[in-house]
Amino acid sequence: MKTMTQKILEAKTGRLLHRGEIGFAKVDCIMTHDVGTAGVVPLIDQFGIEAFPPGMEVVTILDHFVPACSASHAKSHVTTRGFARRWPQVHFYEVGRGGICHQVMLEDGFAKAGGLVVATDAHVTTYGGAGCLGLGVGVTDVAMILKTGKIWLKMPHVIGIHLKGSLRGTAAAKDLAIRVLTDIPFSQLNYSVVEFFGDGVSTLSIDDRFCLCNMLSEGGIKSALVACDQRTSDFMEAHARGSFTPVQPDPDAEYDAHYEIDLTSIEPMVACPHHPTNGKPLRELPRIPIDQAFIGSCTNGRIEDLRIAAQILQGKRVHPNVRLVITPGSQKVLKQAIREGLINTFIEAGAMLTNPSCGACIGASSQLAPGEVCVATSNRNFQGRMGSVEASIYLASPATVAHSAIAGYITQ
Amino acid sequence: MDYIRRATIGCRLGDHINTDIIYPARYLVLFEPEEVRRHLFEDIAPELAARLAGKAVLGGEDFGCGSAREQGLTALKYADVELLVCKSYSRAFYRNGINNAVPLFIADCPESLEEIGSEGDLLEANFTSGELKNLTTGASFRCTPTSRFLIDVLEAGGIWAYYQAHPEIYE
Repeated sequence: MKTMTQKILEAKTGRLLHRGEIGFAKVDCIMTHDVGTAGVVPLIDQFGIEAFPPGMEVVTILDHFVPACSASHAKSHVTTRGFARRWPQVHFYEVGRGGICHQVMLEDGFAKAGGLVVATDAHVTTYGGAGCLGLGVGVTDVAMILKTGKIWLKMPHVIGIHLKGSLRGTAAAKDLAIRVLTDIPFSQLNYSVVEFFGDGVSTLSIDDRFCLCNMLSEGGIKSALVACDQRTSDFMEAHARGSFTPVQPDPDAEYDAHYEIDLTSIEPMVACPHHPTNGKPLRELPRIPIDQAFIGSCTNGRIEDLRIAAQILQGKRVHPNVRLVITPGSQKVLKQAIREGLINTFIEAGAMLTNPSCGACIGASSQLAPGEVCVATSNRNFQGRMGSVEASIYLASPATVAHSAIAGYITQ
Repeated sequence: MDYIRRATIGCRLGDHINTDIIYPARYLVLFEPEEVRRHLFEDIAPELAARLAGKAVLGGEDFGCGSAREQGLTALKYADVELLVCKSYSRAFYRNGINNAVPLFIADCPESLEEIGSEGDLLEANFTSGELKNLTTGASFRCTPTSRFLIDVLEAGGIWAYYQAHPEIYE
């Protein structure tokens, strides 16, 4: 009768937690990126930390403002490198050797099924696609965990989503995620862990699951988890560092809210300005001309996403009024895309390729001017997110963004 | 003794006030209080920060949504915001608030923000009982009490101070 959340937290706190109870959970791994690390460094001295907790992995990845886009960002990179040098056990990813933190954490096996990982980044929920509980935290939490090995947490309410059927046509995991964010009231999503299970799970690729759990972060959730199956184990066996523990909910797990989604009913969706929960079916949208199209981010910068985009862009040209920015999620994704000829397809189509990083998604590059419109595969369309507060951002799947880049307006 | 905070409403904001609006990503490299406070709400209302010292911020659902960046919270703290009273918070923002001893009251009463109060009204939030009072209008609102542990952390002055007083709880 336990949820996956209860099982993982029971293993990490040593007792079964019920909704609202406070527990102190052992953390398996901490990830900090450039902007997070610079905030943690002064706290290490303030908290008198002389050694990291035994057995805890610490991973530090430069990915947000990469390459450094100003002297102050270059300075924060120096601070981050200083941290990695002072603590030799830190797994450090230099510019050009990793990529977007969450993609690297999965590729290099730090996020493991049954594990508890914290990161100075809200999209840590991505790891739920592999059955790993990922919690976004601030720098004070990181320093406290480095000091004690544990995180305080309140057992959240847990929402169960039973998936059945399989996605049809051009519908993607991104469309499913926008639909969930739009249909389930924020008051229920907020602070919950959302668990996906049921026959429909096995029809989702591992990249689909990462996309889904990543995007759900925008509902204010604590985390998301997908029930582990053979695909999870295959991925873990190929990537995990050391052992892992596949997790599934008990058949009679007690959820605070329960939903059923038939994947065959999912159609292409677009999240309209200025919030990811503001989803609408693509077919209901008027003709919205775009200035920029962006394919990348920790939501949709994986190899499957680039393959879909390349298939659509093959032999086509990006619309003259549009600039298409493509950002592979990691160095490994980039290398794979080169091997498969996808990068060549993008360049021939008139797209601009950037280095793996958060890039346009956080307005670190390719910024939008006032009045401009962007359709993006990323996860946030907040006002000002990608540049001017007077710009508009629409979120959609890689297929929708690629089609839109060719057409010059949001379409499929 | 109940944990109670009083402050005058300095501004009333809507739903989904996100961390990019509270503290733009381009300043994420800054951590010094004097620098961080300067960029609070810079893109939407740069004059607001100076008006919030000692005041309460009244907000809607999902306050602090988006990034887990601690400056989303510390920008408000360093601007000397006394109290936040919002319908709900994004969880990382809420955690950061507790860890930094910023009183975040959850105003999950059925009444609207407009009914709760307007700029200039004096609010009294009782975290222990969950009662929110508008001392200017005399209205009061039933909300969910804050759990004991969180109040203990707030009273201790944040999670680091709490840990120093109670290291055994982490054993």
